Amino acid sequence: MSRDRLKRCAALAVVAALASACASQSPPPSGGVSDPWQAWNRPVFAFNTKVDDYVLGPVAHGWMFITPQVVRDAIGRFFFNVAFPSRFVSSVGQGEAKKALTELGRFVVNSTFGIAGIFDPASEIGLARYDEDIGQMFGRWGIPPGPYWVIPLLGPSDPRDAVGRLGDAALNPFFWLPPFWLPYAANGLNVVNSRALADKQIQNARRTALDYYVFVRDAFLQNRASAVRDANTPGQAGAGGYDLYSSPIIDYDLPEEPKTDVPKK
Amino acid sequence: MCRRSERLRALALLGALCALAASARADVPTPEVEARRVVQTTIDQVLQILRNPSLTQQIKKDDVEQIAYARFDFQLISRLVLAQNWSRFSPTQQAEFVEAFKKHLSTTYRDTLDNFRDEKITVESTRLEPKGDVTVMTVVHGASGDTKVDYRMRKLPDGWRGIDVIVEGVSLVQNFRSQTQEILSSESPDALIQRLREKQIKDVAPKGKG
Repeated sequence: MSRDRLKRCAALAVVAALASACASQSPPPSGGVSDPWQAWNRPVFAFNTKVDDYVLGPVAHGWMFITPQVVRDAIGRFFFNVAFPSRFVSSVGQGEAKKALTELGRFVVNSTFGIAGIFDPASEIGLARYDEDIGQMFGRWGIPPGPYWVIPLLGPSDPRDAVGRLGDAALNPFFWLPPFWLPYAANGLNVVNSRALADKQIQNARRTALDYYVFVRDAFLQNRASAVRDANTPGQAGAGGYDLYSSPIIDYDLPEEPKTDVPKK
Repeated sequence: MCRRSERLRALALLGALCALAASARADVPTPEVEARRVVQTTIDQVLQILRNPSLTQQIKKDDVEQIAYARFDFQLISRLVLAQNWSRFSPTQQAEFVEAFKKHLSTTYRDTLDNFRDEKITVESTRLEPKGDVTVMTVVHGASGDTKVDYRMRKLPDGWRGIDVIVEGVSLVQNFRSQTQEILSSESPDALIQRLREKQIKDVAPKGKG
């Protein structure tokens, strides 16, 4: 009961904050990308970064201290295998019969021969791994992502993919397993382990970035755009607009960019 | 009868010509084949260095860095990153930016070499781009999943050069373009160059946060 109330309060707070962010004048495009919710996004991003600095990061480092890499890899594969239903539903929803069957085959092989998914024999027998999710399925259906949106604790997203994540979560078997604490424990372990697996990349990103907020925003937008595009035209990756590479040697005057630059329409 | 054999001979000749033309064409590699070969050779060279147990980590990094300097065109990458802002930079500032950016990228890249855990890298496919560039798509097979890494290659006077790296759909050029656009919307070219150099100093003495 109190949990429900807590959830409702949180939802209200999010809506209120969103409304106020929307009400403020839409700021000019930043870094060539439209980011109308910046007034909300930037402080939330700063908050998330602090949470990572003082809570999630240290916990993940502790986890890395007490576990060997092979264990973390295995746990990562276990959770990836468990999350099979959302990839399967997404593939079916996109009409990708081959991907759906591959996913099913992978799940069967890895859950049995791979001992509940901690090993990945399926990849060795040629069943390739696809990272499909519900948000990509929505994208395939032509639903636009909407504005970039940083969610407290969860990080970079957009309205379409936020709904997609709810779908992914609901399709995760752990969500439905009986003891009430199990989903929390499983999710907690998954979050800490995933953070540990990505530790080098995160450190690297923070060191490379000249503007960490823009770095993450751009990486997120490009990655999501390409994930949806990949599904549509196999092998199509990278940052859409041709202008990105139009020859600066012969004709350096790149057309007035801000719009053509956005990876997808 | 006679006519028929003549026609046959003409046909045979035509067939021979076609075969000849086909074989001639097969001898000249297409841009996609060329670019793919360059990427494959480079990957092989780099892996050979990284897997050589007799080299110290320091030497490995230096050798790989030299290969990267030879195979990527940092001048062109810098111009693509700055895009329309390039013209706001004086020739001196342009040269300073190219140098600082190159250093910045190579420092971070050197650090990532520490994470190398003998992953397998396969060249998957190629794509010819509208203006003659070729994108070579590779996959790095890691223990907890695969990573897609694409190389955008362009034929320049001295051969095929990498002009962008696209990791899981995220283009390095595009990403730094967004960042530099953001910074240059409120700061001067000199301030941007200064930022790059300061990053450099922090890189040398890495300290967790930042």
